[in-house]
Amino acid sequence: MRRALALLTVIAGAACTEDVSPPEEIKDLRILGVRAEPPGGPAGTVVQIEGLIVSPTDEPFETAWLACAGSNDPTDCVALAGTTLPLPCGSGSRPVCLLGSPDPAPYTLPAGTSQVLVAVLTAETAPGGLAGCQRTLVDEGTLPAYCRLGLKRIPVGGPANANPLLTGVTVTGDAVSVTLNDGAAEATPDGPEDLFLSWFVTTGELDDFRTEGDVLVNQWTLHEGAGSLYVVVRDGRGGESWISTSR
Amino acid sequence: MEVGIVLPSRGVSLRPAVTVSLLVALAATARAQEPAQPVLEPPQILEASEPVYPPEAATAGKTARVKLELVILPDGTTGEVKVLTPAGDGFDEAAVAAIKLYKWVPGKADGQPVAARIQYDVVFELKAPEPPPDLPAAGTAKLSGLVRQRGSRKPLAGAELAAVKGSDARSATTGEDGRFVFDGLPAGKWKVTVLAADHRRRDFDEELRDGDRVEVKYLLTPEGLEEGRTVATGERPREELERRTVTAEQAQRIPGTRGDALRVVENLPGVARPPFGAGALIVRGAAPEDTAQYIDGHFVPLIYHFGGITSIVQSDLLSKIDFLPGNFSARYGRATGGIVEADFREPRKDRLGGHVDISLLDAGFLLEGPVGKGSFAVAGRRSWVDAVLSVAIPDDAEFGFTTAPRYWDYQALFFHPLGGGDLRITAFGSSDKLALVLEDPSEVDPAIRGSISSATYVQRLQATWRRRLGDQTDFSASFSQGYTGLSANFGETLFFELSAWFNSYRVELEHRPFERLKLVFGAEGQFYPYHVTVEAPRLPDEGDIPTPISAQEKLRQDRDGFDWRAGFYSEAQISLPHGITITPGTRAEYVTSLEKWTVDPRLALRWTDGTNTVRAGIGRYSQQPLEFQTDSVFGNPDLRSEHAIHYGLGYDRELTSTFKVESTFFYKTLRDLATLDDALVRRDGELVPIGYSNQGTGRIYGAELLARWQGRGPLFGWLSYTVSRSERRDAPTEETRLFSFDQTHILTAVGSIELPWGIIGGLRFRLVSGNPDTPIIGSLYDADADVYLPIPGEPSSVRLPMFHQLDLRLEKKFRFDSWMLTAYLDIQNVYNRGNPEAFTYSYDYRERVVIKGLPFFPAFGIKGEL
Repeated sequence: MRRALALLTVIAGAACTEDVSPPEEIKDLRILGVRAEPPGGPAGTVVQIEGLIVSPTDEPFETAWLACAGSNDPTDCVALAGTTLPLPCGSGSRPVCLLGSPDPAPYTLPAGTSQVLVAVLTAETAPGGLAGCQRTLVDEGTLPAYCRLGLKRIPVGGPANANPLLTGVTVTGDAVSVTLNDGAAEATPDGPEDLFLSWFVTTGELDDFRTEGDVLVNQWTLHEGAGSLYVVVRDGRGGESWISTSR
Repeated sequence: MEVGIVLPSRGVSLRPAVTVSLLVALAATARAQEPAQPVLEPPQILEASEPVYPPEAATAGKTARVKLELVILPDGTTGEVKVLTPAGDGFDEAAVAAIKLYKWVPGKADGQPVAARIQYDVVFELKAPEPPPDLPAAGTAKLSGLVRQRGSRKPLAGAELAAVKGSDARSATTGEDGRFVFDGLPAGKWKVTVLAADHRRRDFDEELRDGDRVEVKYLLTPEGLEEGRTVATGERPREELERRTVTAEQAQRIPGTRGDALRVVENLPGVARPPFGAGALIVRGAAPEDTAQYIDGHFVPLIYHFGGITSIVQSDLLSKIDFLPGNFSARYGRATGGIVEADFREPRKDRLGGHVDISLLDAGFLLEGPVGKGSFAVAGRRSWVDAVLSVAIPDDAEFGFTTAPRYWDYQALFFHPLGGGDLRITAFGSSDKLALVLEDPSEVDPAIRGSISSATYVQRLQATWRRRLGDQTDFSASFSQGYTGLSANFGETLFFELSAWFNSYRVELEHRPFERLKLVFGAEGQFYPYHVTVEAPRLPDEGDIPTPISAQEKLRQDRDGFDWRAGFYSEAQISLPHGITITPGTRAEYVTSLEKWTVDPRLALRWTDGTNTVRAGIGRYSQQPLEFQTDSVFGNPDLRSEHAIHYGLGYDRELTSTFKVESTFFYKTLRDLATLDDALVRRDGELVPIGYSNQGTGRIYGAELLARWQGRGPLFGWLSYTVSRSERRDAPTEETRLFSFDQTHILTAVGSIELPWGIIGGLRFRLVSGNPDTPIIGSLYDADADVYLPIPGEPSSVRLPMFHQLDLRLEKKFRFDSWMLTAYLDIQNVYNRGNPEAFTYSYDYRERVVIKGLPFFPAFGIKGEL
């Protein structure tokens, strides 16, 4: 019953979110996507890791990428690194290492694990930067409001997968449409992948913040000024890519 | 029942009028007979004794009413007599002296004489003297007929009639069937006066001619609150240490319940308030699943439609609701919290009757009556919430129903003598269904999108046979068979379907080898084959912040299973001198799915002197983990049962015959609670998370106070207060936290009063501590699922604001000659308090808004009764 009540709360909450910020509005520093190319592979595979990190303001920010081979929890991953950034990856076997920068960063999938966790920590420089984020996370177990922490799982030795690709975006008036590459939804033992698209804008409103893979259109109402649109497609198995445009 | 007779007086006499008030509180010394409520019969006067009017008082023209409380012993004599309302002037002594000489037909429980405590008013009135005893004139007319209650058409037994024509006066009394006869009346105009307890006097004019055979029907309108409504919460004569019983009739008048008798339990001490008015029973800090629910002696998986809208059986068919908050006897198992048991009543045997009930939520009917030597009842109900919602929901709502919420239920009862005993066959069923489509996915968890549906179906066919085997032994056997179907799906990510052919049984033998010793032996169990199909992530534990489904691994299970939970119990009730009763008991239980036995010893002690009662108990209670916790995919098949030890100490005092105060101190320890565990184990050669392990512990302690007014008359009600603390430790390495529904203070005041114009008004006020809450102190972004994962702060470290709410109920009964119409208005949250119940968060958990509970909500209904 406790669980039913929790679910009831979630459902009730789903209908009561008018007073909070909608997910499609990029109001401040956001991580919108993290991609590995390829999205996984056997140990020894070199994957290129990159992220879609957007700030609608001109405030400078800094980002650190960590690869964690020994943890499923990104907060542990950052905490394991301590209050300073760890050594770069590729210089020995470590549970946590610093990926190269700028994006994309190459990373060689290690042996002896079924998954690598990639944590991306980004923060506006002015309030405290990355050092402040790390210190607060280690000391207090939480993140300051100016920090963002994201995670991505890269399977090692799992079934083959390929990133779905967004090949084009068109804006006609308020109507937006995107196109996918052929075969974006790969076949799996459970059927074709269930693609879904996440939509974001820096200005204006969108009809939908999330659409299924067969719905490649949206409405972007721009009341004034200019803005940017970001669309991210995911296959539910770790594959993703994105595209953006402005008007 | 009250009988008040003052026959028309002629002249002056010193004739005491006697008013008998039988508050049928069959004493706690009455014996238990069966699992269900025994059939109670109040004592009746066999031979009255005329009180002597105190001469000085008579000379002074004084009158008096002396209220007595007395015990009618099983041998029909008068036991202890207490003057409740003294009158002085020698009236008290005269009343006591007279009552000591009375002979009685003793009160009975299931036909066996038992001691009964009653109230009795002796009224001393100065009357006009009786005329010289003229012999009534002989005649040839005959006036006979039936006296019934207006509206309900219930025959009124014991009604007094006086037929007067000039100086000729005759009297008659109605029998059990409500019939009376005046024979040999001379022709002429007769004035017939009819009086019955709790009914308005009525006069009728009858003109008779010689040789007439006149058949009449007299209808009397009841006065004040009707019989059966005067028993508030109390302990029925069974050997439960802490049993709170509420009559179904009274329970239906509690405001805020919309006339649903089962919901009255929420107003009793020790019961926490679930959020959103849900029907979850949170008893003395225990989880809802730790309290078992029984209907007519058998376990049912749910008792409410849609988790709390209304119960699945019509309140009019229930006789009473028993609530056992702790330290319950060995008869009950598989629960570490409490027990709620609702029993069907016997359908009426005197005639066909029934009702049609229409409210804003649903419409139902009941038909009952005699059949052979027994009786039957059929009832049904169907909601029309779906029709209301289809009008109420705007077109631009964020969701739309494909199947609007709808429920129905039915009950069928058949009671009949069989084989020297009593057979009762009951069938009942319930169905809930809804399906909706979310226009947009949830912003917090987009996996909650698309279609959401839920369906439940419960059906039971139960048979119980009870028989007395000699003077010292009772036997009962009961079997229940039925089907339970539950299904739910949330978009494409969560699916659950369960089909179970549920069977349960109870066989009990009760033997009294000596007057002071009663032994009970019983076997009770459940067995059910089932099929379950689930596709879902692992459910969050109690106290956990739910992780979005989108970010969790989906697990799948599809299997057939069979479980048998066999319980055996024995109990001895030893009555010692000086009002001391000791009740040791033991319950053993075997669960095939766990392949383990549990043995739970229990002990209850009670001392009473009639006014004061001290209760104490200690016992061990076991409960199997929830089914999914022992599942091979979702849980850990090697889990053991969870355990609790209940300690209880109580003191009750009857301050007056109508005002009683009960207090209870309780302490519970919890062990072997099944909680989530990430540890890895090897199963089938593969290293997998163990899922759950018996590593949780807890303790719960507190005190309860119940002050209740249960007198007859226009007022009843109670005040209950609970202070408690419920703690859990999910693993030895974790800190102790508060239980999710820990509510430090729970205050409930309930009252009902008869207002002018026959309107009954009721109020309920609740003041309850807010539930603990775990703050979310941050979040991290899961790029694979495009959702944010909450970072919880210190568990249960903050509380929601205090809850308070006032509910109101007004009811008016219109009586017509052969039927009644009842109209009621039940208003929840009269002053529209916006009680915070939970928080909802923005997509990244950085903003939150309060979800408030039910606003001002009026519910109106009418019921026509035959």
